[in-house]
Amino acid sequence: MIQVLGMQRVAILAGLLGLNLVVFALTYFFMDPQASKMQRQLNAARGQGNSIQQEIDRLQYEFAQIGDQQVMFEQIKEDGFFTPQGRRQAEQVLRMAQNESGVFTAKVAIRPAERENNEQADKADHAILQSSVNIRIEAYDDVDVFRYIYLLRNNFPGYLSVDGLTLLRTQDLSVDILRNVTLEKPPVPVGATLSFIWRTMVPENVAPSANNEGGF
Amino acid sequence: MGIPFLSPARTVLLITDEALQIHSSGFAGTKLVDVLPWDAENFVDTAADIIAKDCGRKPVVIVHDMVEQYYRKERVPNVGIMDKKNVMARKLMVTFPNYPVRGSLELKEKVTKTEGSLSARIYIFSAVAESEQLSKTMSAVRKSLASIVCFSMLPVEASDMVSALSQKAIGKQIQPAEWTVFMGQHKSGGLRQIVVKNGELALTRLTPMVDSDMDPDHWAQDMHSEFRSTLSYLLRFGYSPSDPLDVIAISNPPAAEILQNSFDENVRVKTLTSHQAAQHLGLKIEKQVDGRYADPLHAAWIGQKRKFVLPMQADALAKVAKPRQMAAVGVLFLLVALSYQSVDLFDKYQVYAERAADYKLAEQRNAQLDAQYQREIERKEALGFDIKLLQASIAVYNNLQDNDVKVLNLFNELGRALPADLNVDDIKITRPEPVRRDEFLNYQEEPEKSPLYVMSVNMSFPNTANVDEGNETVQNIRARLLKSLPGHEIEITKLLRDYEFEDELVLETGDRANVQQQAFTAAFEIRGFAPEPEEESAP
Repeated sequence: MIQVLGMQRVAILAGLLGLNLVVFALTYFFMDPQASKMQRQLNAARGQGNSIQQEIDRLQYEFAQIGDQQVMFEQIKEDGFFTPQGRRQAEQVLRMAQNESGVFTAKVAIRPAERENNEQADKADHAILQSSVNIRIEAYDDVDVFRYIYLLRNNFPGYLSVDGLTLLRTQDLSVDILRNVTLEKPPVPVGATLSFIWRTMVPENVAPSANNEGGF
Repeated sequence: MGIPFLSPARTVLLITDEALQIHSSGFAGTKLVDVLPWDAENFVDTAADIIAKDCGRKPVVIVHDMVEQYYRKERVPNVGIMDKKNVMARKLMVTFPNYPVRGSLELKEKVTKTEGSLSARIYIFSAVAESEQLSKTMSAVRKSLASIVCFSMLPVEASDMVSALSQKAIGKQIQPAEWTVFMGQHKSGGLRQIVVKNGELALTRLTPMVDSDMDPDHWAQDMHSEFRSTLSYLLRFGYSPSDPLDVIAISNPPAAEILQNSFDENVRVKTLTSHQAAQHLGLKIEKQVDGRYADPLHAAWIGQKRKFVLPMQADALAKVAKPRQMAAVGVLFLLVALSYQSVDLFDKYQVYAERAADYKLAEQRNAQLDAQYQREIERKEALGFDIKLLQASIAVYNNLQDNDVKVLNLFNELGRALPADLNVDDIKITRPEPVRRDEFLNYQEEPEKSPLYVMSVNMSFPNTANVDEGNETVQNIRARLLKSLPGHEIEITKLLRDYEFEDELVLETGDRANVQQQAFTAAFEIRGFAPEPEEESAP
């Protein structure tokens, strides 16, 4: 074959074939993978950039809101929203409310605190403590009951949500009732039962664990 | 002929009886490179060297111009296209069984079908005998490594030149004749006469003659004598002395006039130098060539041809030509493939480079964003408190407020809505369980919105009250509450005593009837809802 074609022609053919192979290999075994790899790196870099940009936007948004939120945060902090629901403090508020509202009796039962699931609190490594507060009130006038509720909601540490309420006028105010007001056991014309949920937000390490059924 | 700068570059090997003429043809024209006698020392090596070096190993056209050429006019019956090649090859083999180089040319002439014979086509079969000159030429070409374009016979390939020359040199003034005789002396001294009828080769002769025109009379006489011999042959080929006939003779001007005057036959004679003939044909030949020699003209004409009239076939030729042609095709293919791949590689490199540049920009941007992020973090840390706790606690607190019962506000609005003389017997606030969405999975419509709380109010009216007026009072209370408690549903669940068809009525009337008056009662429900959650607009 070399005798017919000649060394030069064979060399040219071989050289061209070799060059073709080299260019093919360069294209598909080097440049293509490199381009794909670079595309992946580019996508990753852009993704990273977008994530950082979102974080920056979030931080800037937070800063923009902090002015208003800081006042409210200080207020709820002052209201005891971050306290671990000390029963002693609650007892003082209950006594004060009973004395100042004018209700005749107020029987209060506070259940042990339990952990309440809350995603927002989880984000800040905190947990919500909740306790049921049930109150039975006897009063001469419904206004006293309202005042009692007002005093509780404004002075109780944390947040006291109304879960239920019953207000019942057991007797009409009559001359006989008014005469018996001074007796040792006077008749009670208004009865009320109040159900509240008492909530505060405490650090994660202070709250009972999620699977702990017992309270404080 | 063609456009000079598009003329193919070739080496034309003219095989004559005395020597091998090597012509180089290209866009600059055709020039005689060398004339190698057959008995020259190291003939093959020298010829190969000239083809490879002096002619630049250009593709070779081998032209046979020896005396020993064989032509036969043959009838070949019409056969199908599929069989034609095999039939022709077999016919050629049968016609020239001992000659290795053979070829066939179909003529315009045809034989129509008659009762006794089939329709057929007329061919000129040609062949070249095996000779030392031929084998030496093939060896030289093989050794030179130049590719072979074609092996052809000079008279056949020159037939179209004669027609073209007839059209251009004679046909300008008058209509060219049916018969044309071309007469040209070769360097070897032989006179080549080519007779063309209607553009097709009819007869060719190569005869010796005086190799000098120093004596123009003698030279012209020789020429005319050979012409007369040719005419006698032509009579056998259907020529009649009364038929118009053109003669084109290549000669130097001094002999040309004598030659023209020597023709006493009924013919038109045109004498041209080889340069003039080349000019008519659009060819370039060397100026130094003696104007009476026709072989440079033939070499120039055949060297510029793109399509040959009768390419000859031979095994020895094919063994050399085909691999080299394949190699040329292979080189071309590989060059095209290389070009394509190079463009592809360049495109991919550009894509890579663009991505690399974008990546660099993205990295720079990320570095800037990182720095900005660090500044924001430092700014946050400088505040001195936990922003996450701040935001989470406020979110929790707001949620508690949204889902709480504003009980004192409710009592306040209720007190404003009630008339002063009305007694409220009891108030009850309950928080119904929210409707679970999964209970409505089988329903297309959205579940009814569950109230956050329900406040039930029972009232009593004095037993002396007018029922209609009392009911109106209850309706008015509802209207006032709807106005003062937007977003609430207020429903009267019980009106003062009224009779509807579903009530049972027992009535005692008359003066002695036992009439007992009892108080009227009414009730309604207030349903409050949690505010719609706002869609987050912040990141």
